[in-house]
Amino acid sequence: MDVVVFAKYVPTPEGTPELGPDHLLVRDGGDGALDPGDTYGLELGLRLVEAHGGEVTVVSMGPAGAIAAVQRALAMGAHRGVLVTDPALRGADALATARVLAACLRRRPADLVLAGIESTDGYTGTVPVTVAELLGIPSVTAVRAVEVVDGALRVERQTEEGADEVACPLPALLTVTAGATEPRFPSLKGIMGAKQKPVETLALADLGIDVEDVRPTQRVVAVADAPPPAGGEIVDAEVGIARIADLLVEAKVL
Amino acid sequence: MLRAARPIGPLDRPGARLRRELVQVLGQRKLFQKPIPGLMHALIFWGFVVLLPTIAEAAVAIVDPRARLPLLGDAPWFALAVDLFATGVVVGVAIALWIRKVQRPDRFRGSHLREADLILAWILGIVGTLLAWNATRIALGLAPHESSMPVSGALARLAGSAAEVPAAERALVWSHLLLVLGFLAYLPGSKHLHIITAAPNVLLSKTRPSGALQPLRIDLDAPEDEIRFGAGVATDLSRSQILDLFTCTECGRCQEVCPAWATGKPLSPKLLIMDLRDHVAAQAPAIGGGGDAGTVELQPLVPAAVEDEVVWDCVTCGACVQECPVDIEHVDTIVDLRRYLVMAESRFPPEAAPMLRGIEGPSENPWGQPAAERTAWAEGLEVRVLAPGDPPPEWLYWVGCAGAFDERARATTRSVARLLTASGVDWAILGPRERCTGDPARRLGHEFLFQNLAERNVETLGQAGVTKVVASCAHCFNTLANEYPDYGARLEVVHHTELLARLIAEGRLRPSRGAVGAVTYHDACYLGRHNGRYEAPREVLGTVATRTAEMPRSRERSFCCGAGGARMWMEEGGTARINDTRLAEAAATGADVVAVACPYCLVMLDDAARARGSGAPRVADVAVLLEEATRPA
Repeated sequence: MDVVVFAKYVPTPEGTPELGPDHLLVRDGGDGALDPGDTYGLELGLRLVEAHGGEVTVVSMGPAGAIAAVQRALAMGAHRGVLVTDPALRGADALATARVLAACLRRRPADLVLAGIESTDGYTGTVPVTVAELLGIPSVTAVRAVEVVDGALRVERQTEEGADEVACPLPALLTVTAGATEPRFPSLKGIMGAKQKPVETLALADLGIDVEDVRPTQRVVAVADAPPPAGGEIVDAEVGIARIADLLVEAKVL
Repeated sequence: MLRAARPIGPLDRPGARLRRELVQVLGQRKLFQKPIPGLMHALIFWGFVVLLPTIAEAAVAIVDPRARLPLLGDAPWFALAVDLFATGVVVGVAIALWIRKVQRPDRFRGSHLREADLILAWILGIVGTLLAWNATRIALGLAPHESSMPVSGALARLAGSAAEVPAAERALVWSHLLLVLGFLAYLPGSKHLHIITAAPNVLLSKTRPSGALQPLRIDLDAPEDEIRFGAGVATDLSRSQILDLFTCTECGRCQEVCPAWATGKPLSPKLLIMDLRDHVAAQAPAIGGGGDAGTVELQPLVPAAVEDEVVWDCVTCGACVQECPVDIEHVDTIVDLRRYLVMAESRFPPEAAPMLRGIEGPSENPWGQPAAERTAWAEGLEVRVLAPGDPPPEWLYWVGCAGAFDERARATTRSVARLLTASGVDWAILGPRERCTGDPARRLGHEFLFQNLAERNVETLGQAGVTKVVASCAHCFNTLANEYPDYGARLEVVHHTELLARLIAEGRLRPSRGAVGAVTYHDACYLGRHNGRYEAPREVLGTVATRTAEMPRSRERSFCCGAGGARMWMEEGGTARINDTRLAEAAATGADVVAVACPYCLVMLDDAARARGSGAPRVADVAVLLEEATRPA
């Protein structure tokens, strides 16, 4: 089973990202890393090929520095990497990103595509399902467990009430919830071995994509600071349990 | 086997090693950590040292009953010594049998008990035949110094005419010598081999502080087959580590003090060493005598010799090493096993991964908190944060990640800060430029991560021009003081309890006695046992407490809180929790307060106190108690 895992290079959540005059993120010099939200799907993909054979290809679109995210995924155990980087992609929106990723999959089809629920920087959560739509394959979101049965998938899907069990033919695209797996920490051998693994760096022309097709259809016109969060309430240990229960009722959780 | 193992470098500090040889081997110092078993062993050991020349005498006496040793054979004092020390051995064996048959301590569980019985019987046979042979020599007039041999003489009188039979004399000297030779032949395959290996093993054990691990110095640009990840197979162990295995006598002193074993976990340092020994011995044919280990497929040490859980149970408290009479270094070997599992196979308890990711990531601390948050504890306090290029302070306060991010440990940090300021000390912190020292990564086995942090921290400290560092966390203290010198640091490092004790002695802090009630002090492993800092925290507490009480296990025999060796970041198995066990011991002293000197101990013991509920003693750092007793100045 050949698996493709989408990997995004995101600014590290610990840092303070800097925005340029065009309201776009300044990518040079800032600290970046593989999006932690992508690692659950990667771990799931690695386990699937360990059990059923095949290879994991990690696919990323981003600035040249995004190679760090690809390397990290390779160090964790992915077999090969693809990085699409092109100056014309700066500021690409979710649809443009989905078009690029779909083109990668048309170029080299996979049995299964895995992605995170949403990126930890943009949070649109729309890219994976758009890719599935563009490719015309089924997609299942918020997946927390997968089993391969007779060449098809049996998928457990997280819902507000509990879980749905979904049967799904291959090829398919799944978005994987945080915590579905415990992503492995790369071994030093893995980090060293990652340097020897094949990585393709592609431009838009290599994928046969016209620059017009990835031009952003939206533009950020203003950015404002988020209001500081309300103070919260520190509950005293003595009266704690009752008060916490009240708060949960107030919040309509209970 | 030794030839195939990893060679060890040239021996440093020959003087210290020789002294240790005299004190520990000839003087039996570590054996006397347990007085009665120590006496038992010393009687047998000293006996055999003195009796060694008599083997030569017996060998010659086989052909010539009148033969005597040159020099010694004519000395009455030697005859007396042989007589008394041989008797001492008999007494020693009797004590040993009493310990094994009557007392039956739990430390022998898992040891080869029948083998021990056989060895004791053998020793008794050797010494018994010697005394009996001497008795017949006295009776037959063959002994030159009858008057100097009271015990043999008494035996001769007891036996009466039976001792005067020349054939009895012949039979005894023959059986004595055959027992000795048989014993020598039996020795190499037995756990008693320590009589050969103990002295060299003590010689080879490290002279570094016990808390300083040996660096691996990993260079990722080197060819892969030259990079060592720790111990994966038998031949990855060093010669000193292999010698450790074959020096173990299965006495179980380590097992008796191990916090993991005491709380029902599968790790026993003794069983670990025995399992590794049996594994290495079984792999010997595969290793081959020629030292050409590259040609055969060796089995992995984990899990072939030792199961995974055993490797992760260790808190690296060093109680086993402290106890071991023959200087086996269990902890360093366990860390070597971890190093291979983590760096080559990424195999470790998954719950420890966030800690590694935090240390590795841009935040560079196990909590994964932003570096900018490192000074959050200082809100409302006047704290100087060293910016690049600032003049260095006299003392750099190394806050540590726990002290910066853990809410309970922050109370300690704030107290230390206020006390330093109140006593007029010139101090500052690195603030966001401080990183994890790398201790948890190193103890978990990720030497590469540690190495990275060590190099960069040493660089930061060097650039800041810092020469004197005060640390709050016992683990930071140990790493800065004992491990960073390997990476070029030249620092005077003290723990905050030491600096505070100094400030009290100088009159710069004036606490009022009796401000905090009855206190018992819990020694942190990495301050106490690994670094010998026992006095300063007790001195400080002596100035503030109405009464101080010691726990049964304290100072170099203290019992870990359960968080060392990166256990802070792992789930705990077994039948009991280490922190609960320790807190119960502290509570039994009747103290109102359990004083600690390390944020890990604070978190572990305070968790245990909370679990215990009302009536549990309060857990607080020495600095917090001192500040309470010093307010208002």
